[in-house]
Amino acid sequence: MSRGLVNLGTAFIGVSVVLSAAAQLLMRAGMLDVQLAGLAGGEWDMNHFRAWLPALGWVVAGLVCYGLSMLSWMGALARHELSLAYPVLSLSYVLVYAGAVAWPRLGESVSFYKTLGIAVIVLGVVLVTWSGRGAGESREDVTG
Amino acid sequence: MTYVLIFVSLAFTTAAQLLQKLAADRAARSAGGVFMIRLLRQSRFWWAIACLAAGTASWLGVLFRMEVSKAFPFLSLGFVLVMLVSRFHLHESVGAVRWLGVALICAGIGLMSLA
Repeated sequence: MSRGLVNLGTAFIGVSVVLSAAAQLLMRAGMLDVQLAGLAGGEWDMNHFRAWLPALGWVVAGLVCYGLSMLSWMGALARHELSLAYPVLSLSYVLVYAGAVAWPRLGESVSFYKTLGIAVIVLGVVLVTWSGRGAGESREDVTG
Repeated sequence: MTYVLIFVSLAFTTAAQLLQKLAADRAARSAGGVFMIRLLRQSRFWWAIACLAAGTASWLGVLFRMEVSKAFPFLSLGFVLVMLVSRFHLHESVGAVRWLGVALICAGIGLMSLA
């Protein structure tokens, strides 16, 4: 198995982080559409259904990302210690914050404490990964 | 009551991580078929999914009673619980640098919820 800069187990952690952040952002977008659809009110007819459809789409897309993130996580856990991999998942908070600010649909604002918190989290993840250097990817029987 | 629910939710999420780790390790060691198929044969994998569902449901219950910004800092306790389970149940060696990293992550989560 490769011992390159980015090994398979580490790549799986990265994919899990990105997908779980995407899941949060998509479900948030869906909840905002639910609020919009809720404002429509009135009889339950085709128009009503059309108003709810985008919300449902976002939430389903979010749930799919959540499921795929969990499968990728299993690949990560087969190759890394839990105490090494789990703290790295906190990077998804960083991506959720960045995404919520950058995606106009969510349009959240930048705040000093959140930005400071993000920086401290990243520093913590750097320390955790540094504590695991050279570890992992030692198993040869993990395939697929 | 809400604080009990927070602890229940964190306990389920921590149990889910432990069961996922055990299932992944067993699937990696067992024979026959690709990793995914071996994984689906592990009962611990399905218990992990049940715990994830219970953890998510109870967390929604927390958010129903408490503002997100008040509930958010408690998520950092989940990281501490997972570290304790890794150290004392899985017997992983958790050194000072790793603990310091987790402490910073918890502090960062605390800072984020001040906003």
